[in-house]
Amino acid sequence: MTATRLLEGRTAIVTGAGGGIGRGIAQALAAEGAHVVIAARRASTGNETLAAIQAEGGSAIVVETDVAQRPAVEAAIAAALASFGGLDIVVHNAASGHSSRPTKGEDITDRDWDEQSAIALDAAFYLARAAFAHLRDSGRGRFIILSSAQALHGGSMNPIYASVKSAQRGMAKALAREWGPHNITVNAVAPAGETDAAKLYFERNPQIRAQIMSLVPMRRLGELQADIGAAVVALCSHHMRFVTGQTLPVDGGAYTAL
Amino acid sequence: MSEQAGAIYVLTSGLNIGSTICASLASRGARVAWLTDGPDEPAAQTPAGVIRIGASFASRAALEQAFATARELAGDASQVVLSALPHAALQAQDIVSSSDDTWHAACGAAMKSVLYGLQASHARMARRGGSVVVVGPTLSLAGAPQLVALSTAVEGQRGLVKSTARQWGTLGMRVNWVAVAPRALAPLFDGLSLPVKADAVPVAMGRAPDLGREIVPVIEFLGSAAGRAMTGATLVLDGGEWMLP
Repeated sequence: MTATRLLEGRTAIVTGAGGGIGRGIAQALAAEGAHVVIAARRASTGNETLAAIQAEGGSAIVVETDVAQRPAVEAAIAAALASFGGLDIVVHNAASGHSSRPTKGEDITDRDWDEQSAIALDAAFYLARAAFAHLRDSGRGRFIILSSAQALHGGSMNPIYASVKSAQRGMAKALAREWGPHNITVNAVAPAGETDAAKLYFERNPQIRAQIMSLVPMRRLGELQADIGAAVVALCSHHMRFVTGQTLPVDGGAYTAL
Repeated sequence: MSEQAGAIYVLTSGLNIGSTICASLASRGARVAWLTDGPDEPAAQTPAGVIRIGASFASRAALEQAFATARELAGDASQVVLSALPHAALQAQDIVSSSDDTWHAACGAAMKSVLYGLQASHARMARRGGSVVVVGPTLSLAGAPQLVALSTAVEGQRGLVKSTARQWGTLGMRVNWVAVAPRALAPLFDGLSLPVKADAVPVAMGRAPDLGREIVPVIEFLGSAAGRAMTGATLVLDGGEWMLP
């Protein structure tokens, strides 16, 4: 007997899916039967994700997308409709490459702020506006934003990042209330994933790794597909259809102060 | 009587909650400068004892200039009270009906105004320490439909408060967030469809607190010696509605 996959036949778009957590999410969604639009800033990295999905028997396309540009976001959604006939799931994962750069609050420039805010917030707005009618028509729409624990505890590393990730929480809560009558759930995920950047950093700083891991109850960071991606799959599935307006930490218990 | 060692700068952009805050602080003996981008009003409408300074929140440089004027007229600040709630953010609208311009004015500009206010405060307080209190409506904690940009911006402002509190704490700077029942901030919130806690007793006190009489004393406490252990905190002053986990 073949088990029915959780997201069989649904269509999802994942931004920032050219690597890291976005790739893990795209792979996890595809593994559960979703057709995935890999929205990546560079087609080359998107194609790497595509190859990984296809190697696992999944269905996906790549759309080169600068999410800070509204026409590009609208084109990505149009590609989902043209290729797969609808849209059920939006996952906004894209983040600025400067997100993890240590930054002093007093040194933040307009340029720093605008670049990171455009990818985190303007893109979420463009996605929401362009996707709404299709998510409503789906009857089981899901809109998920990758926030961060930095939004919860106010990380000192980069105030821009803490701010825009916190803003995304506010957006998820408000949009959940606005879209609830349309059977669209809206949630945020605050992951702690073992990205390539994290691996590299820890390889160079093994003592810091040991220190940080000692503060995580499960003593590890999340696997991108099996832990972070799986949590997103769960939110997209019928099992979590009554969960909306929430920020779900997927972090091995690192932040428990909610 | 105010315990403040220096002046209090009250910064308000957009929604005018400054006149009530300033009047209350001044009546309690504080030296108050009100930096506002509100329309010029007759001098009689500026609370007695308050120095009103026209300010732009459109850039860091412009706001720092207003701080310099406040310093000349009122002296150094030991506390800054800040609120940035653009009028564009207070218009109820489905997100699908929002234009790019509205989004940027309601969300991006509101967050950057608080950034500039925090940066200008840091420039004056990094050596001596001090208290910054950012004031916003509680609606962002629960999320408000048709006010997505406002909910987004206000939570973004709150995240910025937490992060800068961590960065500047060792300088003696305390940065806190005061979340106030919306109707206590301005009557216009009565006309908006806001989330309400579903309970037989939705608000423990049965009413919203009074901005001048009940919120301002908490702000003053945060600027006093008694409040020095608090930073990065969110104080929910809503009469006992949401009772956050």
